[in-house]
This record gives sequence, structure tokens and C-alpha cells, in this order.
Amino acid sequence: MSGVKTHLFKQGAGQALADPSIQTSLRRLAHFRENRAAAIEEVGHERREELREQARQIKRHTLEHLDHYLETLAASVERAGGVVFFAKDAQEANDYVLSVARRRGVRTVIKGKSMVGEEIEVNHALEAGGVEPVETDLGEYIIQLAGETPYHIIAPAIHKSKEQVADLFVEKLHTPRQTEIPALAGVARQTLREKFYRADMGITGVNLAVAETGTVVLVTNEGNGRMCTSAPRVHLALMGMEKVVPRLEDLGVFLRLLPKSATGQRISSYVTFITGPRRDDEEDGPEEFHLVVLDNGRSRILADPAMREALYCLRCGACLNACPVYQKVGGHAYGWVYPGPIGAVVTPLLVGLPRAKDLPYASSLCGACREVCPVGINIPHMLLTLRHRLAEGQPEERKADRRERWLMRAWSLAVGRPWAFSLAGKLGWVLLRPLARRGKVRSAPPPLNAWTRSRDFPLLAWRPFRARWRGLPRKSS
Amino acid sequence: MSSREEFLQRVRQSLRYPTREHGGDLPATPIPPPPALKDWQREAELVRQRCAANREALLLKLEEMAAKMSWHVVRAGNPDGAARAVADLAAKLGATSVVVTQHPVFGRVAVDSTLRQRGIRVVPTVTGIEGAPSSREELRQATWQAGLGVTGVDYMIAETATAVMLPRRGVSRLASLAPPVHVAVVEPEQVVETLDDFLALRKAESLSGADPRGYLNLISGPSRTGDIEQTIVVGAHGPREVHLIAVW
Repeated sequence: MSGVKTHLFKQGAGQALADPSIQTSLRRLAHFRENRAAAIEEVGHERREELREQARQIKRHTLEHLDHYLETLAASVERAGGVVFFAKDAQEANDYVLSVARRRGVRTVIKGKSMVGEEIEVNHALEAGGVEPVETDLGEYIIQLAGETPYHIIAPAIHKSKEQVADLFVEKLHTPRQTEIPALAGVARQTLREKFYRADMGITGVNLAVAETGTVVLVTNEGNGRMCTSAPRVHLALMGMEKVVPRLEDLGVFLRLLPKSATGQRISSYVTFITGPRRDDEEDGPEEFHLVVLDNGRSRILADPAMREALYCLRCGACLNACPVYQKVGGHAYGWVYPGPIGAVVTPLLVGLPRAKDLPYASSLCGACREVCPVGINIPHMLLTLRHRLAEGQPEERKADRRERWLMRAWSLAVGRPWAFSLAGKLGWVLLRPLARRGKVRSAPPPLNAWTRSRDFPLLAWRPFRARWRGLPRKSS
Repeated sequence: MSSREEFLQRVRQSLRYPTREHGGDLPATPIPPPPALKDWQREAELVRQRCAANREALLLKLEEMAAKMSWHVVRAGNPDGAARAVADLAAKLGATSVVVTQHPVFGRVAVDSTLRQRGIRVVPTVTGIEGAPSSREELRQATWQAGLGVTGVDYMIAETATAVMLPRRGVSRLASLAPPVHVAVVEPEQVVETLDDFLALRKAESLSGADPRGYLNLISGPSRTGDIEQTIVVGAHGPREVHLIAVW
């Protein structure tokens, strides 16, 4: 996990806030919000609630019996002629991917979009092993050329303007400069077509995997996922272990919820069901199919009853689009592959809470994430739980320093005693009065400047509300 | 212990698996028993009957949704009209070679001969028969270079205007993907109402012991991307245009 920069959240957030081009890009998230709202409107809120409840029940049941459904999935994939590998962590997964590539003499890998691929940094592993990985989702292709990580779960290059993409293509692909968006997409299409034709191996993610049939489902729009699973000799799919569902008929509810929440589509352009390698009577398609099932810390989330729901996540990105914090600080600030509200929950759980202390606080707790979540994950509550662990949890998880604890203890003493509360109010007024201009403190000396650096502090009133309340004339009812 | 066993063991421990050996309770929601073939055959039969009974309304619903999902819809009237519509489109596109999958529908809709009459090369998606590419490599090259891909469909889902193609001999994965334009020829009997109808039919098939392997695609409009500035561009890596030739 060399790419974990979760400890730099404040720095990253500050950079994004100060960058006008990123702020312009982030305002485009409004498209996602509007499209999603229209799609939900079309199905109706009642029906949406019904779907959401069904999805939650399926997820809950599957996770309660995850060992059973993973065993069933493996047996089904093997019955269909595929190979299944269970990877404890990123290292094991990457070693396996590389071993398959080596055995088949693979020189180029074409990749469909995979968040798990980003999580384990499979591209680095391939490059280190002398194999060229080529991202083929347009957004992923752009960030691969730029040497960056995804900015958004479903729109990896949302932070780039078309001018920036144009410059990048000129620099890296040496093609004539194009600035119209269709022309830029055309450049990528042309360049990647050659790669699709020649690549030896395709690597994709997995949106859903059906235990009873061994079917891996991909939900895509561009057609690159279909290319990666049709053109090369070998197809390898990477999945987080939570992506399994028990039965074929369970797909219906998820295939309805996922595209509506992600892009606001009724259904995505392509939904592909892959069961094993190609049949003997097919003229094209891979000769080998591999499925890598990844744990990489997920069993810790499974073992944590307060957090298990985080494994319901479909990776649709709706919570990012709805989050007032993500809308301003963007994706890179979160410091790892999963940004936004779900990232603020999942990242500390996967990389360790002490490494990601700021993330649970990157939320106003407004609840918009939970509202838009297609599986109703109670993200605000989980963030509060993580904050509680940071304040009161095991010593290695604790974030609060002695000063903060002392302050909190003083606060609890004061609010428990009316005379102390009243005295503290007066004292506050006396101390703040000299610093205030027009009723607001704009900059205070340390340690209070931690507050005033990013917001004003209103001057306390000499005569508090409860005193004024007593003096108000009462209407008799 | 194998890495798989270790993996599953870790999952079990995370669940604090309430096995009897450990003196625990049984899990909260029991694992349902394996599905019965006959129930799903009955379910599939009900789907077929319902769709047959509402055929007219379903076709209208499909046409309306197809337009919304950016399919170009041609109501061809009859099989000859459908073959003509495909050939007209190929001519309009200036396609010199057209890849056509092997599907029962083309026994009724004579796409091959109509295209050949107009001097357009037809590439069937099989190898080793007369008039077909001699090797898989040759077929692959021809598919990649074709100006148009013509396929049948196995199901058409009306609620989302989704064409479903099942795997079998002569149904190429690339024919509906690599050429810049894709034409799907649809017959009324193939139209079902909802995604769940399709899943029920598929479930019955999967339980009946057919070859479990296979690659099937649900196609709902052209290839598209919104990855640059959230601006939708069609024809990202797949077809920029998709046509639905309705044989009714």
C-alpha cells in the first residue's frame, strides 16, 4: 500500500480548495445529481424504497453466510471451466496475476475499470514484472497517462478539463492537438483499438458475482469491458469478496439500483454475464478465465458488527456526488482509492484508523450520503462510531490529545452546573471582547487559532438567551 | 491448509461462525434450499404466457423505450422488409463488408443474399464452412474491419429496450462490438416485459442442465462515455450507432 496518503488529508483539501480549475470541475458533479434525481423520479420513491430494502436484505443474508456463498461461487466457476484464486492481501493477488501472465507469455494487458485493481496497485506489479498494463476506460486511460490515481469512483478523471486532457494527449501520444470532447474521445478510441486487437490478456473488475451459476457480471458503458473480455486469450477478473450474491434472480434489484445511482441511467449500455471461458463452439473469447477473490482487510470489516454494512457498498459513487465535503475537497485529498463518504468509512477500516485519523471528520454529518445510497448504508452513524473510537477507543486508535481531553472535561464540568456555565459565559465575553470586530472573532491566538483559521467565532452575548427568555412577556394560552 | 481454506477460515472467524461444534446458535437467516427445476420451469412458462397475451402493448412499449435509449428503430413489416432495411443501411453507410452472426432469424430474414445482391461482402461468424473465413484469426480480422455488424437477438427486454444475446455457435462476441455500427434484428416472440422476466427464463435454462459456460450481453443503446467534463460522447470503444430492425 505504498500509495496511501491518508495522513495528508488537510493538506490535500487545502490544495483542492485553492485550485479554481478543480473547483470548476467539481461543480460538474451537479450533472450526476440531476440525472440520478430524474432516474429516481421515474421509478418513484416508493418503488425505490422497496428495491433498496430488497437489496439490503440480500446483502445482509449473503454476508451472514459469506463463507458458504464464496465456496459455492468457487465451485460454480470451476464447474464452468474457470480457475478461482483466493487472495489474502494485495501481494498474494498480484503474485497470482503475474504468475498467470508469465505462464501465458503475456506482454500487454488491457484493463477494464477496477477499483480493486487500484486498491492492490496491480499496474505497478505488472510493470515490475515486465508486463505493460493499458487502462482502457477513458477516464482511467487519462489518469494513467497523467500518472495519477482516480478522482472519483465512477468518473476517474472528473478533475481534468478538456484542455488539460488535450495537452496530455499531445504530450504522451504525440497526436495533433484536439480540444473538442468528441475528438478527444476519438483519439483514445483510435489509440486503444490497436491495443485491444493485440493484447494477450484482459483484466477487469467485477460488479456482481452469482454464487449458484458462477457468473461474473460487468456493468459498463464504453464497451472497453466487453473488449477486455472478448478479444484477448486470457481474461482475469478481480473482485472484493463482498461482491457475491446468492442467486441469478438476485441480480434484478442490483442491476436496477446501480446504474440509476451511478449515472442516472435506466440501465447501463452494456451488462455482461461471464460464466467461465469461451465455449468450444464459440469463435471468439478467452481460452482461460480466472477469478481472483480478495480479502485485503475486508474480513476485519466483516468481524466488526458496527461496520459490516460498509460491505454492502456497490461502488456507485452517489454518496460522493451528494457530499458537501467531497464537492469541495475532491477525491485526491482522501489519500487513497476510495474517496468521499464511503471512503471516509472504508479507508480507515482497510488501512488502519491511526493512519487515516482525519477522514471520519471529513463530514458535516448532514446525512445526504445515506439518503442517496442505493443500499442505505448508514454512513453518518459509522463516521460517528469511528470518531468515538478516535476519542475513547483503544490507545493505538486514539487521536484526541491531552489538551483536547482537558478541554472536554472542563466543558462537561461547566455544562453540568448552571453557575459554572454562566460564569464561563461571562469569562468568555471578557476574554474575547478585545479580539472581536463587529461581533466576530476573525483571528485568535493559539490554541484557539485552530478554529479561527477556517471560520469566524461569534462573540458571546453578555446577556445570554436564557436571561432574555426570562424577561420576555408571556402570552397566556 | 490451502490458501483457500485459510481464506474461508478467516471469513468464518470474522462471522464468529455459530457452528454446533462451537456451541453457538444457528445463523439468523437460514440458507435457502437449492431451487427446484420444476418451479422455475413453471415460472418461465408464466412469463411466456403473460408476454404472449400482451404482445401488442409490449411491442409499442419497446418501440417507445428504444427511441429513448438511442436505438434507431425501423418497423420493417415483414422478413423481406427487414432484409431490405439492413441492406439499405449498409449501402447508406458505404460499408463494403458486413459481419453477420449465425442466428435462426436469418433463416427467415434473408440478410446475406440481399446484401450480396448489392455487391456487399458478407462475413459469417463461423469458420470452416463455405464462404466463411478459414480461421479464427481471419474471422477476427474481418470482424475488426467490417463497416457493420448484424446480429439476431435471443430476448428483447421492453422496459429498458435491452437486446440480449446468448452464447452459441456463430454468435460472435465481437460482431456487435468491433464494427462502428450494430444492427439487431428482432422478432415479436423475443420480446419480454422486464429484466426479471429475462432472469426467470435464464434461471429455468440454467437449472435444466445446459452447458453452464457462456458469455451473454445485455445491450441497451450505443457505446458511450462521459469521462471528459461529463459530456456524453457516443461510440467510445463500441458502436456509435445502434439500429433495431423490428420484424413486425
